[in-house]
Parts: sequence; C-alpha cells; structure tokens
Amino acid sequence: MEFFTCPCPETGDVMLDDKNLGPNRDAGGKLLTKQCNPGLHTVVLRFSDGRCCDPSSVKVRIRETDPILPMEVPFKCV
Amino acid sequence: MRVSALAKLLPLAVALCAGCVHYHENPPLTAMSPEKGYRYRTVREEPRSDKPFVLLAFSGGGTRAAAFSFGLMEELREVRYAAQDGSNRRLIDDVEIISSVSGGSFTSAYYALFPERFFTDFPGRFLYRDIQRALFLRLFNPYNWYRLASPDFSRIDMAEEFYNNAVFERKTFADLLSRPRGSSPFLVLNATDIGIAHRFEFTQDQFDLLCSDLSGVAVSRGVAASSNFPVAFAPLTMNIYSEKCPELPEWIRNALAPGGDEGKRRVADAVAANSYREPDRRYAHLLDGGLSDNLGLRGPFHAVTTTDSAWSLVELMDQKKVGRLFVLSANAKTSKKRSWDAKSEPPGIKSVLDVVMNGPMDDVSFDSVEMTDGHFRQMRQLSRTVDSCNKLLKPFPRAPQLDNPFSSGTSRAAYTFAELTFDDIPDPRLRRRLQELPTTFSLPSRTVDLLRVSAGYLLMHSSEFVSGMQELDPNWVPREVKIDGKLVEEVCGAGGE
Repeated sequence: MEFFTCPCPETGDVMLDDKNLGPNRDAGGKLLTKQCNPGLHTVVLRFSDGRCCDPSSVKVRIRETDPILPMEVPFKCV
Repeated sequence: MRVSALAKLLPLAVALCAGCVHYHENPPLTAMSPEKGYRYRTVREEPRSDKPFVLLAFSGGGTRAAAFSFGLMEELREVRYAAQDGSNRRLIDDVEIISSVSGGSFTSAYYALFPERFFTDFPGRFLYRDIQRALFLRLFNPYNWYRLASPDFSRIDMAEEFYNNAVFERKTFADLLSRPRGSSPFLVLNATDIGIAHRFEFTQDQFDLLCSDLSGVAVSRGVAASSNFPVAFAPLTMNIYSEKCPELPEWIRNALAPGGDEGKRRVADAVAANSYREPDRRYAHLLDGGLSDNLGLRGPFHAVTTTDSAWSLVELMDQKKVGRLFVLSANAKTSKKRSWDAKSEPPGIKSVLDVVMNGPMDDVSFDSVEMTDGHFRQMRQLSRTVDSCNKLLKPFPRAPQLDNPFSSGTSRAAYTFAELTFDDIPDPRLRRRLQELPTTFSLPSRTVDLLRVSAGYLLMHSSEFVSGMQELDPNWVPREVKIDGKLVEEVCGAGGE
C-alpha cells in the first residue's frame, strides 16, 4: 500500500485515476492521507465550484511511501 | 423411392438445422455510463462508516460449497449487534458484496436475486435436489442430441438452460438492477477466461471491456460460467464487440504507459483487460472460476489492496466510508488422506489426475488466504505505527498530529478476516468426513444438513470473527451452535450414508 497527500490552500476532492478519494483536508483543515496501490497514477484536485488547479492534472509514480511521511502531490488554486 | 430420398436427406436437414442452434449471446453496449449497468455503486447505497461493511467470499466445491455457504448465511442471519444508533441490527443486512466461485455461486446468485425467500426456497430448489442427475438425463433427450450437433451450442449451454429455468427463474442482471438499491448485496460471479488464463467477473465493469451490456445476460449464464467444470463441460462463450466501446479505465492506460516501471501484477491485469480490445479477439471462452481462484477471494483482495479495482474498497476507505470491515471466506476445500507412500507401487492415473487438478488450485487458495490475512495484519501494524508516532508527538504542541489513513470517525484499522474451513472442525471423524466429501451436484440430504450446521459452528468458533464482533459490540457473545451427535453418527458412522 502507498500513501500520499494533496497539499493545497483550498479544499477539493482528490481524484486518482478518475476515482474520487474524497477531500484533501478534513473539516478542521488537517491534510488527509490517501491510500493507493504502487504505480503510475493520474491525480487531479477537483473543486465543486468549478475552480481549476495548477497543474490541472499530475501524472505521478507513487511508491516506496509510508503513512508517516506520505508523498506530497501539491496543487495551487488558480 | 421418395421415402428413401427423404430418409437420406433427413440427417443432412437435421445437421443444417442444428447449425442454427446457438448459445444465448450477450448483447452489445448501446450506451455507456458509469452510473448505469450492474456495478457496485449502482446496486448499493453509499456505505457508512458507522455500520460494518461485510464482504463474503464463497468457494467452489459443487453442492458441498453451496450448502456450506448457505450455512454461513443462516448463521449470519442470527448474528445481531447493538448498532451505534442504539438499534439492534442483523449482520446479514450489512453484507455489501458477495464474491463467489463455482458451487458457491449458486448460493450467492440466489441470495442476490431473491433475498426475501432465500432461506425458504433455496434448499429445495438446489441444495437437496439431484442436480447432477437432472443434467445427466438431459443428455438422453434426442432433442438435445440434435442441438448439441451445433458448433455453437454445447453441454454448458444446456446446463445453463436448466439452471435458468429450474433454479433462477429466467432472471437477468437487469432484474438484479431493478431491485431497490441496497436491497441485496453486489454479486460478483467469478469465472476464468481461458484465452488469457485470467479471472473474469460478471460485472458491468468487466463487460465494458467486451463492449457488451451485462443487463441482457441471464444470471444463470454467469453461474454456469463460474461452475463450468473443465472436461465435464465445454467452455462457455461470450461475444466481444468492437463498436460503441467505452474508453479504457485510466489505471489501464497508466499501467501500460511506455517506459513504465509498474508492478508485475498490475501490468498483468492491465494486459488482460486490454486484450479484449485486440482486433482478433472476438470471443471470450470461459471455464470454472476455480481455475484462477477457487475461493472467490482474489477479487476482494484486489479490492482491498488497490484503487484499480472496479469496486475498490481502498477508494471507499479513502473517502472514510468504511468503518469496520469483515471479510468472511467460506472455504469448502477438501483434502484427501493418501497412503501411496506406504508402498513402492506408484499411484494410478486417476490419483495422479486428481493431484494435477487440485494440487495447484489448493496452493493458490492457500496463498490467497495468507495474502489477505497478511495484508490486514500489515495495515493494522501501520495504523498502530501512526498512532504511536502521534503519541510521541503529543508533548510537543507545535508539532501537528499525523492523519491516520486507516481511521474512520472514531474507529481505527478495524479489519476482520475469518476463514471458515473444515480443517478447524475439532472432531477428527467429522473433520475427515467433511474433508473427503466429493465435488458433485448431488449430496445426501443429511450431509447437506451437516454442512449447514458446520458452517454455523465454525463461524461461532472463529476467534477472528468473535473478536471482530466484540470490538463492534462489546456485549456481543457468540451463539452456542452444537453439531448434533446423531447427525454426525448418521453421516460418519459405518462409512456414512
């Protein structure tokens, strides 16, 4: 199992290979760690109000991670 | 003269007409939508973390497996617990998914179709019926000889017709879909695609790869493919279409991306899925699911370890929608006591064939159980590691607490995996009797009774299940299930029935 987070000042839904893994932060603003299988994945941070992210989508190989220091897949709101 | 000419022409006419007989074709897709078709998310309500998520896996093994998994369902019906909202719930109502193979698929499919009358109807419809004889007798019907002369109609299509009419009331996957959402579990019937030697699920996500609409397929066809024992039956054929094909899922494109460095399992799964889009693949030929996974546990394992699965539980866990997960495996495997090594004479062909057929399958099954159990142990350990780290960080208020990805609400890494197997029956005579039961579609009624009660006994004596239930409801105590000595004596005594 692999672990990653999507840091972004805003809260959006983490999409991994077109699957919705839920919000990147909890209601208190804490960054949530997501699980996935090792390998190449397409990660998107999706906002319900139609705002976009920079980058809009990231192809990233997620592997050799752990839940203490998950891989960061950062996004910026534009 | 005229009569003799007719007589000569008759076999030719029969042969020509027989050519018209065809298996029931799976229809092509007319419109693709991830929100339509027989998929986990169209069948079930969104899961909630305050309710247990129960996933069942039913193994193969003919009527033995069907009766054993039926016994598990009977016992689950009796398991009640105090839910977080204070209500008293039955655990059977929390069954989200049933993944099954071969004999176990009769039980799972019947429950998914008719949960309201499953316990009253299924025993008479299947468990206590001589299905083997009924199938055999159909071979003596001249009408079937004529049909079997067709290259597009084989013994498995004839068996499927029987299951369709006599057991499953001609219901299709569209009928399963038309049930109120959440009223029956998501059914995953597993077969083996022998062209690529890979597991094949009867779900719309799998049929998307074939550009076909599962809604128009009879449930009996999935059960027949799942229980399509090699040699006894010919492979069951599914059409692959090349028009109106939905786009391949993103994970397949990623796994097959050039220059990739993916895990071998992921690539193998992606290559298998992609093969349905190869121009020269127009048909998929299916045999018993036991050839690729005789426990029905590979699909659940894929679901709990990857986001690639069409019904990924990792996805639901990431959404914090799964609280306590129960994976219960009804494993009706047998094991024969062999005495070959006491003499120099090598075992005969029948014995060798038995080992060839069952040896590798048993090994794969053993690994499936170990892998699933090992995965949950590892996840619990990782969860404890995060908690320990947070405990160490606590004295430092400026250090942020880590998110525990295994938590959901207040619960922590709540995974229960329990395998029910005859190996755990304490009475050696009964254990041996169950382990030596044949794989057939006909068992004596008292043997079926014994299998049913054994499943209940094993569930209530499973330390994993009991501790999982007590974590869910601290006041829960296992029901006392006794295996009637008279019944044991009847089945096991003096060589059994």
